Amino acid sequence: MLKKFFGVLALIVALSFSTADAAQIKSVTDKAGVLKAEEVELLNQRIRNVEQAHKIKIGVAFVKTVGGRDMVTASNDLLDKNFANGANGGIVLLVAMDKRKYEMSTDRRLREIITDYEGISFLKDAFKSDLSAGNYYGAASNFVDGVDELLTYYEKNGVAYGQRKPGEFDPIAAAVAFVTAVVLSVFIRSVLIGSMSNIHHAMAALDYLKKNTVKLTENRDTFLFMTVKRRARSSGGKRGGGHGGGGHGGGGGSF
Amino acid sequence: MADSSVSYKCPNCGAPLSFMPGKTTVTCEYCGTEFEVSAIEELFRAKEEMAARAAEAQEAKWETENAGSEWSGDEAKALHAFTCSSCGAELVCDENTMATECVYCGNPTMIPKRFDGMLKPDYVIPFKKTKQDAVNALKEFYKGHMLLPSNFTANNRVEAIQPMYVPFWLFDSKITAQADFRAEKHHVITTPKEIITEISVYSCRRAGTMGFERIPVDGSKKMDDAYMESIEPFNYGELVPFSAAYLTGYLADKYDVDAEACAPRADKRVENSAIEVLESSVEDFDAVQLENAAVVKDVGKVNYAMVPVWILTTRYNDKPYTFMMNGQTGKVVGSLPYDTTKALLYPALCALVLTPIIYFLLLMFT
Repeated sequence: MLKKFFGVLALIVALSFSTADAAQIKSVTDKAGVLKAEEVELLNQRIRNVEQAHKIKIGVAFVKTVGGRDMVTASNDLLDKNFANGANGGIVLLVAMDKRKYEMSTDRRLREIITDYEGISFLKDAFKSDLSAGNYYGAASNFVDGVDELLTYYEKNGVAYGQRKPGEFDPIAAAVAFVTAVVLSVFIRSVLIGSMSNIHHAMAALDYLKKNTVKLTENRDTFLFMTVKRRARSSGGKRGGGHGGGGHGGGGGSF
Repeated sequence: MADSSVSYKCPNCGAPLSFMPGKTTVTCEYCGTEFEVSAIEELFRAKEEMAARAAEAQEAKWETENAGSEWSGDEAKALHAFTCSSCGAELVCDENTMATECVYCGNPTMIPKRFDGMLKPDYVIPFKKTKQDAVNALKEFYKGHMLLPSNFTANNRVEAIQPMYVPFWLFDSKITAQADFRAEKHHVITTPKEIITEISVYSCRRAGTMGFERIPVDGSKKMDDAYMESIEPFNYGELVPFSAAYLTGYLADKYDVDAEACAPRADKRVENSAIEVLESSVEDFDAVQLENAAVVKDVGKVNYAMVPVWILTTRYNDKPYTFMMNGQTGKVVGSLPYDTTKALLYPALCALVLTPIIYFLLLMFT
């Protein structure tokens, strides 16, 4: 009995060490060899600070290629595999040097704080010029600073960057509401005016059709051809075109 | 001088006879005696023949007297004078009036001369609705119209209420119709990335035969076609063989648009309905569109009938408004005036109420 107890205890300890080891995955991965070792260390340190301050996970990966996968799938996989266990969510920046493309992915929780429309656009503006200029450390550093800035904004204001505070007046929504109301009112007016008269020409004579005399003598349907229309699914909200499903957010581009 | 008109007077008391709505006999309102329609017809046939001959003679004299006068030939043709057999007043009516009442003594009067040279109606739908029914129906018609000027009903007085038998042609037809439709079946497949719609296009041919019975087309130029088509339908179960006795007490016009001229209106309605019937047989498709159609009339028959209509005229801001009621079913048709202030105010109020509602809905769902 005692042997069994110690056996289970040993298994639990072993599993704990293995989990702790997994948690030691570095935030910055440079498989493309574009960063110096000290730059990687500086970035890791900076990321650790931001992660602790906001209880999130941040990953930055420079790779030579993502293979046959598309950037969205690759960045989502990276996020789900290594950076999805932050209390307030996780975000990754994946840079593929062969195609000179970058992609950011956020999980379901962080997507509420860094929105695909305003938040991701803010981050793109923060690092894209450095990426294009070949300043990869500067780009990664600005990305981390941008994430820090967006999280700080959220914690201070209670809403994601680019979104209105609850109860704040939205002039665009007000204008849309007013124009819609006016259009509806004009329609209601025309219906009310139309209801003042019930004079109309009779176009049909169905009241006088002898129903028992209707006999169909020919009833033939011939298939002619088939066309196919394809329409991309919108994932709703201000997602900017979606990010591979699974509740992921994000966005990317070329540099 | 012999009378050129015949007053339908009660053989019992001499009071004017009227056909009472909803009854099958002609009733004297004063002594209550009821007469069978056939008995009245028999009684007054001789008088009508005499009156017709008198009217011919009078007409010839009238034309002679007026030769070279201020009346143009067309006016003289359109206007006709007759003498009221009750009070002797000289009355003028237009060329199509078959029955009317004397404006001086109110005596119901037939003008048999007008029956000459024209077809005798095959059927008549007797009046079922009374004058009071018409007034009540008009008041009911005013209700529920939000834009009706407030003082329209308050200051409104019906200026004239006239019961009139309007000449109608009733078209029977048996037709063969054929139509080609382009129809589509939509099959939607949803994948995680896109929505794929497969549209299968078919050519659907439908052909068939069908019959229409008694499509009414009014044969009077005076009556607005849209009004006459709006008071439809009629219950032909109450259609009875024509007798002039039904016209007594009412205005009645003879047709001035013949069946030939009215036929295209009936044909168009038959064509539209035939296509509608064929289209309804194109089932289990998501979209159907008519490509071409051909409707051929196999058998066409026309009957001539007199149909009861109450004409109500009212005035508002010096502008006359005419309403018409189906004298059989009581259906009222007409155009009401609308208050321009209300027409601006109500939609403005709607916009005022809707704006915040839509605003909050937008905030909720975006």
